[in-house]
Amino acid sequence: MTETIEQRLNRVFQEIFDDDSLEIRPEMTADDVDGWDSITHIVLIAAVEREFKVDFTTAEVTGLKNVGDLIALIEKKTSK
Amino acid sequence: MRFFKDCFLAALITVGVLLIVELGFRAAGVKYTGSFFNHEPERGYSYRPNARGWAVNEGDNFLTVNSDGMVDRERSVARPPGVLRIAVLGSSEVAAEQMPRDRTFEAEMERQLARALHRPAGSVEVLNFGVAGYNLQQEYLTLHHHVWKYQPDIVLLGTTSMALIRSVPTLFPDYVPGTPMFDCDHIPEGDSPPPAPRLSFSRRLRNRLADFTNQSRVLLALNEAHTNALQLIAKYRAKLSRSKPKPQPANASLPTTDSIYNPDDPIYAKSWQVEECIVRAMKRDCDRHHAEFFVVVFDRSREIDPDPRARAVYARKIGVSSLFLTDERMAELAQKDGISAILLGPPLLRYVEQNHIVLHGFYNTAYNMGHWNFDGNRAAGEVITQALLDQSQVLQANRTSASAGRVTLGAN
Amino acid sequence: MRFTSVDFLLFLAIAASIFRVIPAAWRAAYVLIASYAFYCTTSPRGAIALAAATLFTYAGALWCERLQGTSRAFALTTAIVGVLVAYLMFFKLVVFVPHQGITSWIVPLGISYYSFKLISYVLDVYWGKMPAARRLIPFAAYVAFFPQILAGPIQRSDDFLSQIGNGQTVLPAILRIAWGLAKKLIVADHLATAVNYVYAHVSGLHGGWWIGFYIWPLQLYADFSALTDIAIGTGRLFGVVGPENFDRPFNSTSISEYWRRWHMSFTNWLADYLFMPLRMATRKLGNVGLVMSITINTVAIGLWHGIAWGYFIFGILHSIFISFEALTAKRRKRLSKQHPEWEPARNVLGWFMTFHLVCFALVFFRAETVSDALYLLRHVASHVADFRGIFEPEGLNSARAFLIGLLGYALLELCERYRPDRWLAQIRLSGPRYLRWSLYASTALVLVIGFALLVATSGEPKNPFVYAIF
Repeated sequence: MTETIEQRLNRVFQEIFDDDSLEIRPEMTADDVDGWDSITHIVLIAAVEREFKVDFTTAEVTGLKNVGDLIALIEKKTSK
Repeated sequence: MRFFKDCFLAALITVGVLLIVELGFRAAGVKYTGSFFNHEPERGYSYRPNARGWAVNEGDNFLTVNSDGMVDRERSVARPPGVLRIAVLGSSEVAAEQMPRDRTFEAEMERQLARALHRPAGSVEVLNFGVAGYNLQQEYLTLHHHVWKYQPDIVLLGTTSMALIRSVPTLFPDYVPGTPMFDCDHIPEGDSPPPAPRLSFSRRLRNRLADFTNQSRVLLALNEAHTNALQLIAKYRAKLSRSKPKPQPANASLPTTDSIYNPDDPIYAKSWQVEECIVRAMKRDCDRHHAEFFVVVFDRSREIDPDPRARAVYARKIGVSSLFLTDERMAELAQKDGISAILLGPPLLRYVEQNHIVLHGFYNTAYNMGHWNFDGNRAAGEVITQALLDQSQVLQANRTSASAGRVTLGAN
Repeated sequence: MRFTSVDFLLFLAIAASIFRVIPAAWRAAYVLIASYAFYCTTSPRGAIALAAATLFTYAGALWCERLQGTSRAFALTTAIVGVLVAYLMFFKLVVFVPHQGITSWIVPLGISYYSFKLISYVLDVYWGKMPAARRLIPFAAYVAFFPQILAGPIQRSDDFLSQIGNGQTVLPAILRIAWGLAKKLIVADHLATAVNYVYAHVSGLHGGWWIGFYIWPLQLYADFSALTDIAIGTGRLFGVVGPENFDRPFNSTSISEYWRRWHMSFTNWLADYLFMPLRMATRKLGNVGLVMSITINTVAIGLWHGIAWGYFIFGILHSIFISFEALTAKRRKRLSKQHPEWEPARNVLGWFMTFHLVCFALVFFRAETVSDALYLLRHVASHVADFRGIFEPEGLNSARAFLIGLLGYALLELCERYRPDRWLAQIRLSGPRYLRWSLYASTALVLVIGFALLVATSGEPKNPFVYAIF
């Protein structure tokens, strides 16, 4: 069956942060994930863009505060 | 009851904290200059007997005042038999607050004279009657009322152009209140006893407080802060008043020793007069007490800057052909009255040029500024000793008698 | 006005007292007036430049907001940011090009800090993170806020504007200022004498170059973090809590971590407004884009301090360090998962490497010339014990000053680790009465003595803050 956005995103997170036990939650922020800093952030964004075939702008990316925001953004972009 | 117990405990802990701060200051070497003075009716002020504390404005030295208010070690009032005594009068140059007492030029003279005269160590005493900031009148009163009980054989007046300036009220309007500034017609002579120093209760209390303050680094810091705060307030006041148009007072330019080089300047005529008559009065006083009298003209740091160019620049700036003009004039005035004068500037300059060292200034002062440093005191001690050996009849008599195995001193 | 001057503390006492009694509605306007008054004591002409830059950005942001969503918004934002960057660069380069007939121009005080505030504000509005400020007074107060104008911290506009108008906190503010003053005057200034001597006589020393290598970073940290402490404490006296700048940076176990804990308000700013846009633009280029972004970012950090080869090399070195860390991150993480038992050793090694690399780069930052830096680095390990010459000019006193600085630094690190201020706060909240009383009495006494010490030493010239010149 098709995965939800959250499940696909979780896979991206596990891959980028190299941690198979990582389980994302909407309220999760960069402080909660080991290795999520300004450098890996864009690596993550680029991976998300590839996975969901979308393009983010700088403005959209700077507005993100937690994983929930990212999911909402992906939903907005993919539903278009 | 609980209340008092808590008060007591809180006070105890707070005092403990204060003690820790005090210890911290000591460990860190935080120290400020203590207070060494005492107001007195006769001379305005003098050193407070038994005061002890740090003097850190130039170098750093733990200064002790003896029980008779001299920055000297304890001296017996009666001259011990067989001891040659020299009393030195003057202001800060003579007091040499910057030096440990065994490194002053007076101490150097004691050692050198004893050696030159082939006498045992300690048999020549050079007594330090210098008090920082004294003018000629204060030095005269010191001689007249405080020196003679020590029965000196020789009296030296160490002087600089600064003491001249301090001797005239118009030149030194902001001077310590109560400082005697009598003119030539009012020199107290004869056998008037000194007014007994009667200290008021509040003065005695303040003296004890000053003694206590000298013991605590924290209190010294508070004291220094208080002084600085007063200066800051004065600075702000000056800033505020400067914004309003206000006529400049007549003597707005503080007299400096720079301008005194010009002997014809009417502003300084009065101070030269005072210099002349007080030195003469001192000579009379010495004659009455059968002591030999010398005027020792101290150098000023700029005169003996090791760099000849710096000296030339400075001479040009103040418009003189030689930096020793004032010194020479002081010596000439004395010699005119048959008083021997010793000039320190020229021999010290030779010393500086030969040895390439700076005789003035410390690690915490500007280069070649302020009072003699360790080298300066040693060199000055040597120069004065040599001059005295050449010129003093007392010493010459003593030298010949010493070589003949007899002691004539202490017999006058 | 230097933060350690008695003049400044007097200004602060008066300004904060007035702030306390005026109506809440006037606070923003009052902070604005006080800030310009502070600025004018040093540079009235610079105040005009500051006001002009403020008005320009204020109007520009409003316009930018009106155009939001259109294609012209991007062009306008680029233009505004371009003008601001050019403004900053112009004054940074004036120092660099001395013979152009503009040498009489002085660099406006705090320009490096307030132009950053302005740039981030415009970008925030453009990105829609916040609406453009309608009210000019709070906005102008944000730009000119005097506690932050000399040396940061760089606060974001939304953070500041949400706080301006708040009441002051007194005791924590005063203690923070006192802590900063103590750090500066007891630790930084005492270490400075020896460090300055080493860097002034790099090739003339007989030994002791290690002081320039190991002690200079400690001095810089004590100095700069003191400045931040005073700025944050001062800000609180006017109702604004500024961002923290340091989080015990020398305890970092990697260079990336070090930069997240050193001058944080600045590096976070760069991360958001320079690194992030750069990375977004280069995200398709993979590692090349990553290294490029890192390099531009670290070189910008270096050159922000001034246009000089030393700062450039400093930036390049950090670019190498961070790129290496970023490119090997995954491999290192896998390795550490395979060998969890190496964890303690890895932490110690990471700390050791990080501290030495930081010191290494800072030598270029401090040395007068690149050749001086290389000379010092070549000699760091030679004649280690032969450092007496450094203390020769002032004898025992400067050796003691150095010792005080070192002990003070150790105490500083311990305090920042174990936070005794929290124990004291605990006593204040729930301790027995006699302890609370002794705490108040001792605090008051220590503050009075500390202030007296400051006034007592105010006659002598002292070391300026290292970071107030950038």
